[in-house]
Amino acid sequence: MERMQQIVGRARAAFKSGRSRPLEFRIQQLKALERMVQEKEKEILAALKADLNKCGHNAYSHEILGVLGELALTMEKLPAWAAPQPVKKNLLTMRDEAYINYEPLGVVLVIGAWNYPFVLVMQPLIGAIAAGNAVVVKPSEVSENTAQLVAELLPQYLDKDLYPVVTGGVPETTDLLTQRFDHILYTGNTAVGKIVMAAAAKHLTPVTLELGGKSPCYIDKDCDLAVACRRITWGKYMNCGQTCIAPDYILCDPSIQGKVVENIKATLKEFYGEDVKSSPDYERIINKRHFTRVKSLLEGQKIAHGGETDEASCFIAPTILTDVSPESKVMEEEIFGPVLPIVTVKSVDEAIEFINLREKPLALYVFSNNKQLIKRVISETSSGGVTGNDVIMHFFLSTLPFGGVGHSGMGAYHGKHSFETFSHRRACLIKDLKMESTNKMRYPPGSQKKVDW
Amino acid sequence: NPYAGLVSHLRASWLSGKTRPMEYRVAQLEALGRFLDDKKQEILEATELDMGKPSFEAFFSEILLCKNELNVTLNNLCNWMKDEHVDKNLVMQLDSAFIRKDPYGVVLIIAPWNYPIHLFLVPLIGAIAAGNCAIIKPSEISKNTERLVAETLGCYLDNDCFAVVTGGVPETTRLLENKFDYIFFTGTSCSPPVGRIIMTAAAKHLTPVTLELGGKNPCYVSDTCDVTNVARRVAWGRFFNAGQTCIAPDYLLCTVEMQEKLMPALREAITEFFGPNPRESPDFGRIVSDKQFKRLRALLGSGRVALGGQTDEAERYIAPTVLADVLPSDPAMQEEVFGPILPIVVIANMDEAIDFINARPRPLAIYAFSCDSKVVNQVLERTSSGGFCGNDTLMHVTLTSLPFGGIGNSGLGKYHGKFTFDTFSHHRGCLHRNMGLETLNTPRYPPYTQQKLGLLTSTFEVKRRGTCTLL
Repeated sequence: MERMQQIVGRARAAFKSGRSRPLEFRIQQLKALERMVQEKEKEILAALKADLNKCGHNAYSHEILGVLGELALTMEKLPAWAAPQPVKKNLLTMRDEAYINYEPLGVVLVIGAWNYPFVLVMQPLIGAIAAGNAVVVKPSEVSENTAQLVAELLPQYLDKDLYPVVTGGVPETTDLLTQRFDHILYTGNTAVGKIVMAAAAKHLTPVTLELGGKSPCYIDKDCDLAVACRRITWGKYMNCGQTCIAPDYILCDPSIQGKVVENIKATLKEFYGEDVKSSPDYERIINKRHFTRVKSLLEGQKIAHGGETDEASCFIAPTILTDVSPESKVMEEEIFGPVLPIVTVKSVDEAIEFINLREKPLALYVFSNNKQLIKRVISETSSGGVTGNDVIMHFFLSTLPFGGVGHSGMGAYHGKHSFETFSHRRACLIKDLKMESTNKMRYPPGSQKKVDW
Repeated sequence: NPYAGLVSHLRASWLSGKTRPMEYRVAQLEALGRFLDDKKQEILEATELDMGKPSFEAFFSEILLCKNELNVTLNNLCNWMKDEHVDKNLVMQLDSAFIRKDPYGVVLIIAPWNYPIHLFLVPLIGAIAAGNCAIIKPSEISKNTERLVAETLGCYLDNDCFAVVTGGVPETTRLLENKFDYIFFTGTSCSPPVGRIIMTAAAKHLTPVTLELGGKNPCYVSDTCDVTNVARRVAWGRFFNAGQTCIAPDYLLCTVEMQEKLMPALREAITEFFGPNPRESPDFGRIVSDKQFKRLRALLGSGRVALGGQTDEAERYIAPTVLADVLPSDPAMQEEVFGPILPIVVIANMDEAIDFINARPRPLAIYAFSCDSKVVNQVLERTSSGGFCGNDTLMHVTLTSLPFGGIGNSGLGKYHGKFTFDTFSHHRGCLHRNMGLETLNTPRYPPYTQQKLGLLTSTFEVKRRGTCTLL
């Protein structure tokens, strides 16, 4: 407890010193982060491989490329984002200065997750630094190699007092959450999200919660199944299904279920070869606990493809389940593994109803050649974000806010949205001490004449 | 759960989709406008009964400002509702990328007693504009207004989608057991810590919140200023609604010389506004309850009474009062004043004033008066607060293009104008891709090769402009 108090206290003192506020300082820190990612690329990839058996290509394209892009974008745009924003004035304020001033919040806490352990601490960190805050970084202890690496590297490149890294598990995080922060960004699951928000409530700390849910994927009869299934296969099985925005389950007409299975099978062979286990491009489940959890979801299900598991290496083969009952266990919680249930529905109306009966998901996917149908599904449902005719990709456009709604979260970030999340927008009105006559009409004594004017 | 039925009724209406079309929202907003027009007299009367609110003030804050928000919203709703198309990267040039503004669903608006119509109606405008259903919980302390709202609002709004719930703390607590899709709360942050209670209740359902709380809003007056104008603007902001305003200048910070100069100017301003006996002025309000009256009366022992100080318990009248030489340890400096009492704390200079402000929780508003714009800017830059107004009080919240909200103990979230609409909308990132051109996707698929990685990097990479790429 005391240790956390000291770390946060130091960060707060460092913030109060004012040195994180000048734009030059922030850009210098971001540049240092950029150097870190470039110089330590090998170490970062090695840590990701050790934690998730992530191959170099995947690790680079999912975790490093995005971070470098975000850094470049932020350094480029920061002066424009941070500039005071003049606002439209009314008659009474015509001669005054009215603007929104972007200011840092203070000390921000970023809690990362284990599935994309590097990018999920780095991206929020970039936004928080850009907005001028001190940042306490708490990487997930489950992805322990990456956590260790982040704890070693950040102090080598960044201001040690302003941006400390705290490692540890539940007890350490619980301790950390008793401290006062000015914003908390948490990536993880819904249950812990509630705990984080309740802890934040004690200090009236605003939160951004990036949670999860079951992201539905509706495949219309009128669509190019080969293309649709290839894209779905990519998004579902990347990182062994451990992606918050992976298509969790498929909704489609029973008449195309067979074709969907065939197409996915064919794509899987194309991607990972005959023997998935020996493909260097296929990851593993993070640990035994999750392995057991995902494996148990297969019980009593019709396995149309896959189903092989190997506990020793936490391997679960890319699996497809057909004719899944909405009441089964695999349809209750977020799967977060390489198991793809197909639930059949007779129409898009049924699909929409099915989706709306459940908690709002982080992402929603719909495949169709019919633009109107896609528009309809978007309009009649709610979700954090949407990609039509593909999966995952809305995550990669930084001009789109990335976040959840309802049980899938609150708040958003990426690109400019990160900067705004970690800033206080302070309303400023600067008047003249002269020109008092225009004020007279608002002063008592009140009279009907004044009111009518 | 006594409110479960009501909440599920509203939720069913929400799921039916009837609040979503623009025409529906416009019709409800126009009905709200008619409510303000038809019930204007009743609103002025109710607020006068509740806290002696002068009709000039009531008209200004409860009718005029609300109608402004209504009109800004009606004038712009079409644009606000539109999908906001965003810049795309190289890979997505042929796709459609936009931010969709989705309603949340069923929202809860809890309002306080000091501006009892305004503080539920302005949030409600945004909630309706954004397509939500809403439960409104007005304050039981302003009981005449509560009754008016409970009895008449339903005659204007669609009762399937909008409901008023009355009651006190026990009723609000039961109401909060239900799941809402957004909670908007205006009220106190201190004792009791209702803001924290609301957020903790919201956490159980992962309900996002906006909390408009309060604090002690400091008002720094530098030595170089037009004393007459300062006194008028400060007095106006302090004594409006008998001081019961969350953004009122809570206390003054100035040098002992300025305190001397301000006193006669403040006396003159008070006399100009309310006459020689403010108790007889129709333009000066009363304290809302006996409890608040007693609390305020106890603060009069702080420092010394330089102006005013008279009280009348039967009328819940406290004269416009200025306390001089107040110490930081005095009772008046321990809590938000929220009454017609202005404590003056003497400091040596601007730096001391800034340190004083920064040693305390961040307030809803900070005011700084000076003829020297550098001084005003210094105070602005070296402090933090919800909002800031230089050389005046209160006025920054009448400009609908400025966000209104707190920071730290003074609150989280913001509203007014478009900000209210945005508060009650979920901004949903949408990418609508082309089913064709599948070959462009090949670099992302396994089996992975160095060549694919190179292609991916070159298409996805954001290069920093202005850097030397010759090396």
